Amino acid sequence: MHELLHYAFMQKAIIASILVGLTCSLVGIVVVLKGMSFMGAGIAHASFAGVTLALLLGMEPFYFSLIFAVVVAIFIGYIERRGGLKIDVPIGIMFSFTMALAIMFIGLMKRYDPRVMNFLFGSVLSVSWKDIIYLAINLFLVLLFFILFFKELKFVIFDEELAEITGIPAGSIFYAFLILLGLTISTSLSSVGVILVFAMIVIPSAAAYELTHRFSLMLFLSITFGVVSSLIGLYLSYQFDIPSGASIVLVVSFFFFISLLISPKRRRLR
Amino acid sequence: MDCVVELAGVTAGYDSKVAIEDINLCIKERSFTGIIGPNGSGKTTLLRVITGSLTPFRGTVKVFGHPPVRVRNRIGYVPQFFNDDPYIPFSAIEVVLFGLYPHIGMIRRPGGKDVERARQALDTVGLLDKEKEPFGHLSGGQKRRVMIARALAGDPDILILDEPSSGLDVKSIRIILDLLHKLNTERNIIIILVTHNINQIASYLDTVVYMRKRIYVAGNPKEVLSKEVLSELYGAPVDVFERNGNICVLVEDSHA
Ligand SMILES: Nc1ncnc2c1ncn2[C@@H]1O[C@H](COP(=O)(O)OP(=O)(O)OP(=O)(O)O)[C@@H](O)[C@H]1O
Ligand SMILES: [Mg+2]
Repeated sequence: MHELLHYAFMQKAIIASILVGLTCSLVGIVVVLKGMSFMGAGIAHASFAGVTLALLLGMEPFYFSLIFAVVVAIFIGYIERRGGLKIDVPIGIMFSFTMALAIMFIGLMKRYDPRVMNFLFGSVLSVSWKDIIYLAINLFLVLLFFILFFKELKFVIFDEELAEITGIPAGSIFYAFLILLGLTISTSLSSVGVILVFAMIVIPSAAAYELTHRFSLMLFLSITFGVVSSLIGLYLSYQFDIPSGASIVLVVSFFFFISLLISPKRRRLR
Repeated sequence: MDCVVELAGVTAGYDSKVAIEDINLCIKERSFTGIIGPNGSGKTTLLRVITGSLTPFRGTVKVFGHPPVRVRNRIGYVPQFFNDDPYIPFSAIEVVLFGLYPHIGMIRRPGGKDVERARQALDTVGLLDKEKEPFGHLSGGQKRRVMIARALAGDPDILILDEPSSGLDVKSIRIILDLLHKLNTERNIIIILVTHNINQIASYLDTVVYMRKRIYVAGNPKEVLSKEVLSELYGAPVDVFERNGNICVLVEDSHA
């Protein structure tokens, strides 16, 4: 284990895992409590369309995935806030629409670009310093948002319309959050991939949600699950030569099932 | 400025659907108004327009002479429906504290004084012993009382309540009504509430508004809640009688 830390790729992987684990599990709290998990999956797939378009055009994938993720996040958020339509329908449509786009862009490539697979499944062992800088900036913004608007965020989670009536700029806070969600998803793609980034967002918070009625404790537990499972997953990935995205998500899922088993909330139901 | 809340020619609704039409309403200083009407008659929509959370298609809304969004910190609102996630990670006192956020201001955290104010509000609805209880663990009626405490905590000049008595037992309704009466008479807080529970509430009101998309009658309870007016409005024979100063409305049994 010790000598592992001397490899540059391993140092980068560890830093990236910690950053992804922290950021995803933080934004995940809002996603889980506001019942927007499916939305997270929709945004991740949209950002994949951005990635494939960038690869097709020979441009920087990050900016494209960011634009796709943020635009789709705001679009779905707008429909959600307007009410009326059942939200799973527009998300489902966006989901398939952006996936179809991605498949089309891949098909249009003259030569298949192997990075497509990297973005689909993630590979934390090959992240670059640039990826890490993006992740760090993203974490800084997410932390700033949580620190500045901690109490407002709680109210918005509880009831958006009531928060607005009470004089909280709930709409702006909600959209700012969606932009951060889009940003988090696109910065995390290179390490955990399109399919699994959703898991990194939802599962740590879902596990924490099972265990406590206190918001601050839920935050703490979610972050702990996120970071610890990233690190354990990374270690297992290296040790057993399995894709890192998969091993990280398997570990965090394991935490979730344990939480479900020992959940004080479920115990009453048995 | 005679009307504290003033609606002139207000038509509002959702998408292109009109839910309330051509509403003219003047709510005066110190008044206690009850809004009644069948399901889907636009009562909640009317309250949404008054709180500024729904912009009307046409017409003007003024609260204290301003657009409602400018005076939100003077309005306390108790919604008809609220968060029903049984595991929502907030305690009763945290929910009450939400009502103080505009006073605390953005970015800053609630301090000891704010918590004290929130506890006081929780005490007025008789739930101080539940302050640490997770909101989702409370019964429906207790949750509603917490929501009332939340609206009161901000020390509003107008209190707007959508169906405050729904889901509450008879004694809790009495306690809430006495509290509202006290706030109204002692602290001059203007009260506007929507209710289906005319019998228990009528004697507290000084104005009753009957609406069904439009306002049909508005006035003193004795006038509006008369046999003739109600029978015509509901399209069924309605009996109204007084007992110990309370007005009782009885829809006559069609099988009788
Ligand atoms: N968010 C919404 N989107 C679309 N239509 C709505 C929405 N909310 C209410 N409506 C419609 O507007 C009309 C008035 O609804 P409103 O909720 O104001 O009635 P209400 O008098 O409060 O009824 P209740 O006694 O059942 O609470 C109804 O026809 C309803 O279907
Ligand atoms: Mg209603």
